[in-house]
Amino acid sequence: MADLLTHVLVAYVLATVARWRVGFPRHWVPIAMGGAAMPDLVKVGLVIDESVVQGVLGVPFEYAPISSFGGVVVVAAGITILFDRGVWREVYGLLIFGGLTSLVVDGARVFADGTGGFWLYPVWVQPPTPELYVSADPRVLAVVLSTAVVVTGVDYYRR
Amino acid sequence: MGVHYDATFEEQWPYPTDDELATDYDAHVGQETFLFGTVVSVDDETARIRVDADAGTYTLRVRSFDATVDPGGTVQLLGVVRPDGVLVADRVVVVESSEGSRLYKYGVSALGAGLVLVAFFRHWRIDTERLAFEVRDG
Repeated sequence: MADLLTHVLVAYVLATVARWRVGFPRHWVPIAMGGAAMPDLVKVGLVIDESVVQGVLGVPFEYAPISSFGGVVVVAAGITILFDRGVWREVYGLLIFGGLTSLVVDGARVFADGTGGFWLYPVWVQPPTPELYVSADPRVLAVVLSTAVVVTGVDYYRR
Repeated sequence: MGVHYDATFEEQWPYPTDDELATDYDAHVGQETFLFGTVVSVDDETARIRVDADAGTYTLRVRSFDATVDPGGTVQLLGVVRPDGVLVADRVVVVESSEGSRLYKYGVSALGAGLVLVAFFRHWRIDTERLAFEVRDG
């Protein structure tokens, strides 16, 4: 996957530009950014190893689906209920939007066999990947960061 | 979901998995596989690659290894399984060219996590009475 900063900035850029068009309040932008971070929760494995969960559940287990369509839908629901009931619909929609942007960005990275991972799970297909980058490639962040700076500048002058 | 994924993955994945190679290597000789591994050493188109599978860690000798990468870096390998722990690579993709690029990845990701939290709490706060997030006024 791309680094988390890239994910968050891509969602920031898209949500900010969408805000110019649709005119929703500024406080919705960080929700989309948080949504973009959701698939990266798959890295919880760096803190709690899968074998620990496996021991507790007693069956083989993987974190991998967190970084998939199914995972985004479930994790977003879990986060949405932490919000005031009156904004659930907006929060859930924006979290899903942010999560999907990250999955699409991740789906564009290089796989040696030319097909992407199972990021559409629970649908078991491997979409072809355009092979734009590998996960530790700093050029991705350079492109996204400069776009984010431009968008922030434009956003400032539009106030 | 995590359980269902694990139970179904091996049927869906088109190659022998790193676990299957760990437990019954010989059954997959001649098949094509796709693995992630950590570089131990590279010597003239032959690399020693460590594969960390759930079923155990093992080392493969990879022939036709045409990538430039330091020990400690990680690679994707597409190649054919040969007897005695040898993999003949069709394609090698360098993911992290050294330990340093892994540190870069995690460092930048930590920044991203910080950015989300800062951006969020600039606009939202916790309503301590109802224990829910609410928009900050003005």
